[in-house]
Amino acid sequence: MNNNTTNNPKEKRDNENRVRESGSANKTVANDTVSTGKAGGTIAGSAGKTGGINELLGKIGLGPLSLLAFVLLGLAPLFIDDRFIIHLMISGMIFGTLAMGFDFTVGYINIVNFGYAAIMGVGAYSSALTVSRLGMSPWLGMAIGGVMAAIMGFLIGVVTLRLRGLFAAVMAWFVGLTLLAMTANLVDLTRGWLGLRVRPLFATPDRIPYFYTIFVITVVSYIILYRLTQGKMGMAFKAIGQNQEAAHSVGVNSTKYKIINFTISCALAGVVGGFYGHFVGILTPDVMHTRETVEVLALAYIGGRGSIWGGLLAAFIIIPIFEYLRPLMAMRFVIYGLLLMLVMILYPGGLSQFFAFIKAQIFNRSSKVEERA
Amino acid sequence: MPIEALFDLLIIGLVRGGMYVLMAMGLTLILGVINVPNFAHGEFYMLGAYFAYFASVFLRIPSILVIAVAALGGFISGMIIEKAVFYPLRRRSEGKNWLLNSFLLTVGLSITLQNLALWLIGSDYRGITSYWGGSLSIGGLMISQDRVIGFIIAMVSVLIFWLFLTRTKTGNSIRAVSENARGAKLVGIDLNRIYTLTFGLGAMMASIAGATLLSINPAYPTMGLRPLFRSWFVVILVGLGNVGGTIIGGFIVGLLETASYYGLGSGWQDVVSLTVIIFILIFKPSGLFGKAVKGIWEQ
Amino acid sequence: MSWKKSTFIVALSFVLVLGLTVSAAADVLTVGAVGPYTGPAARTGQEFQGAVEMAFEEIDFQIGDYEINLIWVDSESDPERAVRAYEDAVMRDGMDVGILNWHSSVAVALMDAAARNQIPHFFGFGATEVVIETFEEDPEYYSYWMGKTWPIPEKLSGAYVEAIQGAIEEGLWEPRNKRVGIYGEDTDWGRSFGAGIAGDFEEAGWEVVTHEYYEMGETDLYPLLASLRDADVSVVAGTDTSPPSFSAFVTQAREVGLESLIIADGLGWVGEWYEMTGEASNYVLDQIPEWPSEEAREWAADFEDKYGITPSTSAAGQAYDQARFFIHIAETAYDLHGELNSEVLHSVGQNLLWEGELYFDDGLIHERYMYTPETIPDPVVGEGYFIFPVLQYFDGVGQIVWPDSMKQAELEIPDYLQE
Repeated sequence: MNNNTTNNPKEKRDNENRVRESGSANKTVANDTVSTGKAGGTIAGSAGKTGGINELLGKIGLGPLSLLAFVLLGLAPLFIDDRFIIHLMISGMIFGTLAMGFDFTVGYINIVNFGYAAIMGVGAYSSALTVSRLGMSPWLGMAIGGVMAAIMGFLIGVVTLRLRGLFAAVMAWFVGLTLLAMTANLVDLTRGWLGLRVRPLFATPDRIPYFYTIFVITVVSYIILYRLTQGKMGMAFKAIGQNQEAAHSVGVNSTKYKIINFTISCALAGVVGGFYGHFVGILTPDVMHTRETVEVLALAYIGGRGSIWGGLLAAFIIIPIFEYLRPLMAMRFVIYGLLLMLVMILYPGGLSQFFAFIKAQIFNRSSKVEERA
Repeated sequence: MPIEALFDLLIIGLVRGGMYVLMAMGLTLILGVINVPNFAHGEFYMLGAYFAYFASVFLRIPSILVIAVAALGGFISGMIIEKAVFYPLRRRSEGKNWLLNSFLLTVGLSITLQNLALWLIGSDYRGITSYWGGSLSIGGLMISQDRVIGFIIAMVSVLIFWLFLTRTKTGNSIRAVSENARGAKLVGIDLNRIYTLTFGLGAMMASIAGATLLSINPAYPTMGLRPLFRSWFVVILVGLGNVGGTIIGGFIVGLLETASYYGLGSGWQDVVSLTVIIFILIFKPSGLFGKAVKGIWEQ
Repeated sequence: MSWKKSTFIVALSFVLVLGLTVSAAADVLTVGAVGPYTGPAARTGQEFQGAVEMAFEEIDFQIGDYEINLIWVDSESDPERAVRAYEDAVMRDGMDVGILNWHSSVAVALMDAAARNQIPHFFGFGATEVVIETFEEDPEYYSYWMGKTWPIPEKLSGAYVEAIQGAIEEGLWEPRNKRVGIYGEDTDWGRSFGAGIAGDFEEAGWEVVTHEYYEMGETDLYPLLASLRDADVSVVAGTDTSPPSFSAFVTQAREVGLESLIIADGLGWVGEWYEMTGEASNYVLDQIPEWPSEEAREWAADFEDKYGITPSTSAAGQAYDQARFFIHIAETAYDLHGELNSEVLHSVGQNLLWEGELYFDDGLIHERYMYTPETIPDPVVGEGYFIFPVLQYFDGVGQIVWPDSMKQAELEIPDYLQE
């Protein structure tokens, strides 16, 4: 049983790697345009050059496809003059980035951080309070939010050291519930359920600056997380996730890597939380509720564990769809629940697995074409 | 603190704890036998409350039968859901990532059931004034008869359930599966039957809890969240899958909460009980009475 | 030829239909009713929905030449999602004006959204300090938040203290001490009310001994009541919006032997309250009236027939009044300007509503709904305006004990409080 779990993701990963390599060798149209744009004047199509650029892109953690997606996303506000869609995209990036951070833990070291929303709340409240109490700039506030959340992540990492699987998840959950209860009860500090008003990030009512702020956070998070999961550290994470004892016996310092993982993933939640507070303008302890964790968890799972980008893509698909289903009221959440169940029963690999499958299909076909040539 | 207040708190804590025992026992049973960390356990508590409400309004039968109807309803819906949801997952996943996938499945189940109730039954509070009415004097404390009888029902259910697990053939099979599913299969136990039955039983216990408390907590779609959290506290405190331990754990959590509630205020009861549990987990990761930890729970 | 002809006819009818729909579309006013239609406060949302629908059905969804397109903006009890739904309503459905809302936190987030989109929003229910603070920060920018339904809770809580002080002066009650305990659900509303009434009692010379707030929806209140009992207070005062926990508070208070006069603000908010408390609610003080008139009771009966839920005065009744007040405003705006849109409603709101020139006397719950430059964003509170009489319950029926002009009975003190 255990062998199965070890083999499958590895195979998947190999598959993906193969696909990625093939992507650089066989230029697709998208690939070409992007590399020309990027290299500015280099002759497109020269295999060596393209490979080099892809290598460069690979170094900062962007594949051609993800680069294209991010460029399109970044340009979107130029073409879309619709505040609702802009807002949807901001929501998509907030929850998508959280889902990526969540996946960084669940998809690699295989621990469900069930207190994730509470950590995000720690970031949000820290940022809001440093701004309102100490008069600091919201930008600094967001950074402090990240630091505070990172400290919480570090602590959760330490506390869950001896725990694994379900035990670790429940422990993280309990820490989250404790944080929620404390936020609600330290009324003098947080105003509890009265709600804490948060200074906006920008003086203008325009949403575009918010869009680009979260856009930068999202892209940077993606690059950092992706890079971290590729190198030696990523291997270590995977090894721990599959079998902690085995990882330990081949010299992987599981303590160190577990804590690093928690700290990074939580720091990210803290920064996003800080942004969330300044974006929405008011915080109540509800942002730390388990309901919110479930929201993020669902995106990460539907997106596909162990892919990083899956959660982001899922956020951009799921959030708009359910937004358009609003008139259904309660029925909409019945559909949501059923969808979650269906994904888990029928396709637990989520979007990323589906994508890898499609890519593999294309790869197979194109390699056949090449052989013929 | 006056001594009589201490006595009151003891009674209140025990009554509260009794319901936690009932809830947590179902939760830990499902976890121990089927390895499903059930996030939808509170929804069976809700179903129980609705069954009891409709039974008492439309059937006009004695209160004890109302609770029996709710128990039966919970049992049947538990079995149907196991067959419809967990059985297909078990067939398709062949054990891979079972724990996490089934957990998310229960999250989806919880959302679905809550909103189905909202959609079909609506959001009103459907409650009854009392089952038996009147109140009893224990020491200086007047406590409503419903609570006392509810407590007795909870304890009797726990006892019956315990006898069922230890004295009947089916009960023994359930315990065998909980200890070693593969071994149980080898000696000819039909695993699927045991899984379905166990889920039904777990759901039934939550339903009994929801039904007996109907005169205190009216039924509404999102009522299950709080009991769910509390029963998880108990299950983790005593160690996963430890059915006997939940009896003590339920009372510990009940008393701990009542004391911190009285002393520090309602908002701090979660902080206190969670902090205690977190510290216990740090020093004894498998819980107070946890012995063997199944490998699958650590995946 | 026939082919040409038919094409011509098709094209013509197409143009006609298009023209008709365009001209019809020009005379539509899209009204977005905000409420927690799903999520934990869905019960309130359902009452909102019924009440608003009934208000607009009365005018057949028609104001002047304008057809009212009523849409539901679901806040899901969450500020971020509420803003999302709001922007959706503005962009997709072309919402021209918003009405109602429930939570204060949602109100604060929507104030920004309304200002950003320049959509006037009438009569949000969110009542607490955060809303006032936000409004006062930049009254011009937030002028699209056209007035709150509820005043800040402290403006209403003083009535209880006056009622009790009156009874003491008349010699009806000689309390054993002047100690009061504050309790309530731990939400913005609960804490805001608690702080307000604590201040009122202190001003009247009482000592506030303890504040006990509990998680929303908590139904095991024995420990809290035991602690209030041991604090030896003559009065306990507080509020709760969750019926199960409020009725639990009242019934369990009797069980632990709490010897205090209970002020339970909002116990009667949900129609089924007496089924849940039974006799334990005797002697309890509340402000939310039974339906005050025959007309109101009829309306409540109609509501129940139509939607199958018992309406409460505070959610359904109040929402119905506010929706009709809004209709009144829109009709006035139409008469004055001959058209209806966001700007017209905003300017009528600012120039007539806020100046106290436009008010509403035809409500079920209160005598007169009115705003003045001094009270904005709150309504005018007091006798003859927005006021709740204080009532005392006996066997599920409230008797008005304050103010004097409406009094139906004297405040009665239970035996266990008489010395």
